[in-house]
Amino acid sequence: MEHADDFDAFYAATYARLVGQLYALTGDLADAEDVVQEAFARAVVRWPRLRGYDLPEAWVRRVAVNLARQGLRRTRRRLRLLVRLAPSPPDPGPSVDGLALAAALRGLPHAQRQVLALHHAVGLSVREVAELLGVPVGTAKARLSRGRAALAALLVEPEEVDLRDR
Amino acid sequence: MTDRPDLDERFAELVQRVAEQSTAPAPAAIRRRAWRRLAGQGVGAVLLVAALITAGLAVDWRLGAAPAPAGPAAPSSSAPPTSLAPAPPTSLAAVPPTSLAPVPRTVMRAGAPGSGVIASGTSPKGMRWRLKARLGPGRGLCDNFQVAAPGTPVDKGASGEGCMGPEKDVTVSFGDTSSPGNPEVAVNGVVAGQAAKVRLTLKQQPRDHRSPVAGTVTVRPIHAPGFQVGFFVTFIPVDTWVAAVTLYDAGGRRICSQLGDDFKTPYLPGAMHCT
Repeated sequence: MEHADDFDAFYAATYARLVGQLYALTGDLADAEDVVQEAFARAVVRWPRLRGYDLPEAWVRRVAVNLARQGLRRTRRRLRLLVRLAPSPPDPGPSVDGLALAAALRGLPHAQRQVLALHHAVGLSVREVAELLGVPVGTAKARLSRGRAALAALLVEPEEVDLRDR
Repeated sequence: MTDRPDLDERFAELVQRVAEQSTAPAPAAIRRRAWRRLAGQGVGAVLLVAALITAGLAVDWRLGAAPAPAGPAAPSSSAPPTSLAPAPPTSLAAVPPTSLAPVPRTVMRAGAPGSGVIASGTSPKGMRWRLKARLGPGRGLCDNFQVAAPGTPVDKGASGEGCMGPEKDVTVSFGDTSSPGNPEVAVNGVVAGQAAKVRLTLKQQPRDHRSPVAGTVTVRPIHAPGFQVGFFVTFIPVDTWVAAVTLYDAGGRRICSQLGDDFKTPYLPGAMHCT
């Protein structure tokens, strides 16, 4: 019973934050919620062990990130079918669309978005990002650098564009 | 604008905004999901053992198959498939990065004519799948692919339907299906013309020409009565992507190939007309 109370408190304290972080990675609120819930479902059966960890949240986040990476393939399949059938209607998405960053992230190649999200939203070090993605640290750094540059271009305020045009 | 502190703040704002909108389901719902998952795994293990005992021949791993082509345009070996060797799964993670070592292959078994079921089977790791097709009025060829995690009835798994429609010059069309927890990625597609063999080149970084080939998978399309195309289904490891597709005719001659970079988007293999 004590374990159950522990888990409930941990879940209540961390769920929303993890969904926010995974949204940065997936770009889709439903997908983010799905992988976070699945990660918690895996955590609850291991809770007697996980509760002894310094940061059980890190374990859940790691599982969710891995699930999100696998889940991209499902998205790819969906995209393929949409192309076969008809042009896809725009996805309204969550109301965070109003944030320039959310929109800009959608314009980035997935590899860059992934590294940016893991580094800036999830808070992993470059080395941890490289390890998680199975790429050399140099590759992760390069993607991070290119991603920041691409993001800078996408986040340019309209006023700045006007000034340049003049 | 995008120095580290600024980006950290922007990401923090995004995370915060999403977190505020997110509603956590009750902890009891998470526990139910966990128990369903455990129950599924238990049933899956039992079903898998039973399936292997009673119908293990449905699985065909092709090991020691065609070697790497000598050059970019060289046809692959047309060696006949090794029949029904229930070998252990070959993990690409253990394959040297530059190797073209053979990878598992799934042999399709045709369904009953007129049933609409083109083929069905079980992947080497126990994923159940079923491919249906029909000629839809005004929509051309439509196929429906279903795949389910080990232990899950195929009807309860992921499914998707697509129609070829006006893409009359399509040579090959394919897509992949996976979902969290699945041990493999299912790749299914359609080939037009005389393609007798489809070779998929796999990479872990499909858009990077310099990245090493992680492996290849070769599959023979099957033809069903009433359809002018061939259908194929195969399974690839979860950490790989299809980086190129090459079609061969019955004589082992290369018909055409297409690199992943030429696909329309990095994550949209879609249809293509390769020459």
